[in-house]
Amino acid sequence: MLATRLALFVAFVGATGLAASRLSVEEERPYDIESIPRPGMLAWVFLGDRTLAANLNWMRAVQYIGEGRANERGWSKLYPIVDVVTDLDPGHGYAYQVAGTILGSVDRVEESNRILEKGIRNVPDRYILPYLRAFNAFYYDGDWTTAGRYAAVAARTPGAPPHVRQNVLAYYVKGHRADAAIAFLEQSLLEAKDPDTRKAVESQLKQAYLERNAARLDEAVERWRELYVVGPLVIEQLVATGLVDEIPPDPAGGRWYVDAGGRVRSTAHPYRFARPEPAARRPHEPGLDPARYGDYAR
Amino acid sequence: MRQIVAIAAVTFREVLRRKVQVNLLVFGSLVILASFMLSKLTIGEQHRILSDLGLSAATAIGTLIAVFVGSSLVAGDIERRVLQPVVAKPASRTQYLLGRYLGLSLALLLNLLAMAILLSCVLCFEAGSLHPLDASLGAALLMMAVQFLVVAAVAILFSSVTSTTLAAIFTLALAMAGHLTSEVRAIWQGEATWIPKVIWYLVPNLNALSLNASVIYRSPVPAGAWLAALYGAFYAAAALSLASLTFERRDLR
Repeated sequence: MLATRLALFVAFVGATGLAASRLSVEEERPYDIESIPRPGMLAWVFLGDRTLAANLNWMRAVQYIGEGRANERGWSKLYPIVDVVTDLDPGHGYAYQVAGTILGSVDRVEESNRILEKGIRNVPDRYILPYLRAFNAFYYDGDWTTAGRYAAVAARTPGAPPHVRQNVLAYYVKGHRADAAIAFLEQSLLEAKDPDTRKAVESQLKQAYLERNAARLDEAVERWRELYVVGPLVIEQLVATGLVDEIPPDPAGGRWYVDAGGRVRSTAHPYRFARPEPAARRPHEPGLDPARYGDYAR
Repeated sequence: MRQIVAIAAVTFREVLRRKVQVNLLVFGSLVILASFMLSKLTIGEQHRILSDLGLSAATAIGTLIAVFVGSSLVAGDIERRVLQPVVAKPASRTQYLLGRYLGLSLALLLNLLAMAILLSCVLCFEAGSLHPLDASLGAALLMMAVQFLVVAAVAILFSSVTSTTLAAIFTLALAMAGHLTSEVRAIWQGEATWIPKVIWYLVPNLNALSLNASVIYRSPVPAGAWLAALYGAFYAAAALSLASLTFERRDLR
C-alpha cells in the first residue's frame, strides 16, 4: 500500500516536472504598459479613491520611464498613462513636470506641450510647468514669441525665481516682440513691492527699451547693406537716406554704433541679446539623449 | 448607563480577542510598512505615495474590522443563544445594542490609534523630521474614526435584523457603495436623476468622510470638514435608532 502511494507520488511529481518543462518561458523584455484603463473605470475599481488610483498608476509610469531599455521599447505609452493619472488626480503637479520633460526630449513635443498645458490649467501655482512649455517653444519649435508668453506666465506665478523675468525679456526680444517684453516689465514694475525687485526690473526694462530701439536701427542697417553692400559709417546716415525718420534715443545714455557683425549697440551699454538660434534639430530616432540622461537613456 | 458601560467593557475585551481583528490589524501594519518600500520606487514626492497608501490601508483595514466584527456581535449572540440571559437582566435591548456599539467603537478607535502611530512613525522616518505630524494628518485620522463609527453602526443595524453572514455581506456592500455615491451622481445624467439622489441620501457618503487628499497635498483642512463629521455622527445615530426600533420588536425565539 505504501509502495503504491509512493509510486503515485513520484509519478505525479514527474508528470508535473514534464509539463512544467513544456510551458513557454516569458522572454525577458523591456518593461511596458500593456493596458491603460479609462479613468472612470479606475475610479470605480478603487471605490472612488481617485488619488490612490492615480498614485498606483503613477508608479506604473515611473517604472515605464525608468526602464533601462526604454529607447528600444519606445515611449508611446507615456502620454496616455500620465493623461489618465492627471485625469484622476488633476493636482498631481510632478506628473505633468516629469512627463513634459521626458516627452519633449524623446521627440514627442506635441504630447509634451499637451500635458504641460493641461498642467498649467490644473496646477496654476507650479511655475515650472509654463517654464518648461516656454522651453519647448523656443528649443524645439523656434517659436520665441510663444516662449515669451509662457515664460511671462511662469514669471507671474508666486514663488517663481527672479531669473524667469530675464527669460521673458530674452524670449520676447528674440521673437522680435520687445514691445511685449516692455509691457510685461512695466506691469512687473508696478507690482514690485521691495526695492531690490524694483531695481532688477528697472534694469531689465532699460535693456528692453534698448533692444526695441536698437532692433529698429538693426532693420535699417540691414536695408542699408542691401543698397550699399557695406554698412553705414555713422548711424546718422540712416536718417539722411530716409531709412529711418529719426534716430531713437539710447536708453543707456550713450551713442549708437554699428559693430563689426552689423548689429547696432550702445557705447554706454554694448550688451545685446544674441540673435535667436535655430530650433533644435530633432533626432532621427526618438530617444533620450545619453549625454543628458545617463543611465535612463541606455 | 451602567448597563451600557458594562456591556461595552465586555464587548471591548471580546473584540480585541477576535482572531479576525488581530489578523487584519497585523496585515494593515504590514501594508503600511510596505507602502514605505513602495514609496522608494517612485521619483520625487515620496510623501504623496507613502501617505496615500498608508491612509488607504488604514481605512480599508478599519472598515473591514468594523464590518466583520460588527456584523457578528448581535447576530452571533442570537445564534449562540447567549442574548436571552443578557436581556433577561435589568438591561433593555436598546441598552444592549448601545453597549455592543460602544465596545466595538472603542476597539476600532484603539486599532486606529495603533495604525496611526505606525503611519506617523513611517511618515516622520521618511521625512527625517516631525514635519508630517500636522493638523491635516490629525484631521484625516479623526475623520477616519468617524468613518469607522458609521460603518460600525451600519454593521450593528444589519446584525440586529439578520444572520452574521448576511449582515457582513450587506454591511460590506453598503460600505463599498458608500465610496461610490458621488461617482454615481456624477455619471447618472438625463432621465430619472432622482434615483441617484435617493441613493445619495440613503447610502452613507463615506467619501465625504475622507480627508486623505489634505494630507497628500499638505493642504489645509477644508472648511466644510466639520459638517461632514456632523453628517457622519447623525448617520450613525440614525442607523442605531433604526436598529433599536427593529430589535426591540424582534422575536428572539
